[in-house]
Amino acid sequence: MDMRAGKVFLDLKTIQKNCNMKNVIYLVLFVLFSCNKQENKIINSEKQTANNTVKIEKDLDQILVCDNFDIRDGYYQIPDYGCTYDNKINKLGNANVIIIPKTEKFQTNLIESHCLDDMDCLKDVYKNISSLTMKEFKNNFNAIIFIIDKRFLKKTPSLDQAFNAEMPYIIDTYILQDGEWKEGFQYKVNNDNDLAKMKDWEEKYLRELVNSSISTTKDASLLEVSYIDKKWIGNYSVKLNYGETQGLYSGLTIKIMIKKDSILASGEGYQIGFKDLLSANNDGNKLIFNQLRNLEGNDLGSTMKPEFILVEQGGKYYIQSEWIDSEFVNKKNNLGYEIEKK
Amino acid sequence: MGKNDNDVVYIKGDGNYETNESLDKDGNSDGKIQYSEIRFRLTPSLSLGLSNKALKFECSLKQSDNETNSDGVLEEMKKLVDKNIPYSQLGERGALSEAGLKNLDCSETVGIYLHKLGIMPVYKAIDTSTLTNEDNFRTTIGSNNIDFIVGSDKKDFKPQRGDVFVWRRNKKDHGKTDGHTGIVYNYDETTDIVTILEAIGDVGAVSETDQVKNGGYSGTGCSRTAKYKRLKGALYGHEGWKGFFRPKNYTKKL
Repeated sequence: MDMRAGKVFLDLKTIQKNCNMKNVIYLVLFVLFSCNKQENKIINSEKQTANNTVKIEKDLDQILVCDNFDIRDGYYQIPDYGCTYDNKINKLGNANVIIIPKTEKFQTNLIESHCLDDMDCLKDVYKNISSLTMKEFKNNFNAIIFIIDKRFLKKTPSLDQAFNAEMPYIIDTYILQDGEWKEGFQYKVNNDNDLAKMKDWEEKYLRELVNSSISTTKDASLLEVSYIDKKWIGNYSVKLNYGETQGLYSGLTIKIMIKKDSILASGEGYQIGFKDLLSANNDGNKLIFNQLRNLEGNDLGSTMKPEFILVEQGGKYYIQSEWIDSEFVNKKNNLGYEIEKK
Repeated sequence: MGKNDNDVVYIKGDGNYETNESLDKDGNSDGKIQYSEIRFRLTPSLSLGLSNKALKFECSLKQSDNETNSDGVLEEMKKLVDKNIPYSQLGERGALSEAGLKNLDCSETVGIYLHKLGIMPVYKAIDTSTLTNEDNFRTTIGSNNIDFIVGSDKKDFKPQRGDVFVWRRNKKDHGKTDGHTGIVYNYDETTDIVTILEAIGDVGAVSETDQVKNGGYSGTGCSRTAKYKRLKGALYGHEGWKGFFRPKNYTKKL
């Protein structure tokens, strides 16, 4: 390992003489995610960091919106050749661009289960991503970009990609985390063997980032919820009774908690228990809820379309749901069972 | 079935007990073999059997199996791409030498196929920029033995074994210049999946995650046998989609 241009420089060949790839991965992850001040100093000198970050941040932002993304397992990627250098949109080099969702709205497993194999549905998602402002983009995604700097590229206009990298070359890594760009490591690729090892590393590193992003994903579909009228925000609860069974009262208590950025529903009662994260759509005086994710207990909510309907009339609120069967003794009108808002 | 654990199955002196005496010795050695003692021995075998149980049965041959010519050019090409040769558009692209086959790109792979088929008399480097229509394609390969299939750029077209697909984007219409091509090894009408012999770059195709689901090779940055849904983004659904070209008058077995 040596230092060039203020960055840690990894020559895979040299490293592999002394340790195996697994150790390299742990070393890299350890250094990259370490909060230790000393480690930060090793990665970049402060002056160079400031200069570099300011200088290329806009270029990196532009690369993020270079082309349509394609859904992958836990992330999105610009497919085919990534974002190829063109000195206009992409002024840095050939870029492999990967974005990792931070919010439920773009979670790939939810998108895939919603769209299945429907291309038009996926295209709507891609269109939605490309229509985000940069601020919205950074609120919804982390990113990692692997760039082969333009100085290593050969112009090949008649080939299948307009610029191709000639070995040996260096791959730079840039990471967008919490809305800010950070410089990652550099890799020197001398031959196909180095490239294969680099790809292996990339894949494992990416998986770490995806897993880390999933574990910190906000329990909310921010954009879906933000369009809901403020009047709905609050805590709702209703206790539904089956009446007395063998000397005991049995029933079901349903609670719905509508916040600015999340909706949670829970049910506790006789042989039923669940906690679900919901999405919601406004429909006049109704709010229609579907399950985004089952957080605890029974997952029957995923089969209910919708899981709940909340109706407002004359300042009172009513609830409808397949969770609530006809055997409850509570009074019901044509809008549903009355539910109290606090 | 329906028996209790303590129910006796064999008892000492009945002949069967002696044959299975070890079951009793594994258990309580009381001169009787109970259900619980038999189950103790059988449970691991049952678990092993269940874990090895086939969950999917296929009784008929697939179309690809029926149509495969084991000594044909497509089979030869499949063997070549299944070596997962590293991808590169640079290096030696115009020779079938060791250096030429050290790396492959997509059009290079198609060039090798057309040459082996006998419709590209002189092997040379080709690329998708000159494979976008029938005239250019014919000029590029140096023979008229390939047709653009009319209607193959449309949604309802179903490809055949041996067809070559092309998509190509240009800066003027699409804001970027790139392209991709590959060979149809098989088309399964029931699943609408097209098996493609190709060389793919590091990033992979559109809908790359389908490879695992469809049974294709999921590695990228190499030559491979891929499986794509006909209408999704890697084929018909790709920006710059040109359609399929079909070799004709070839001298070798497909």
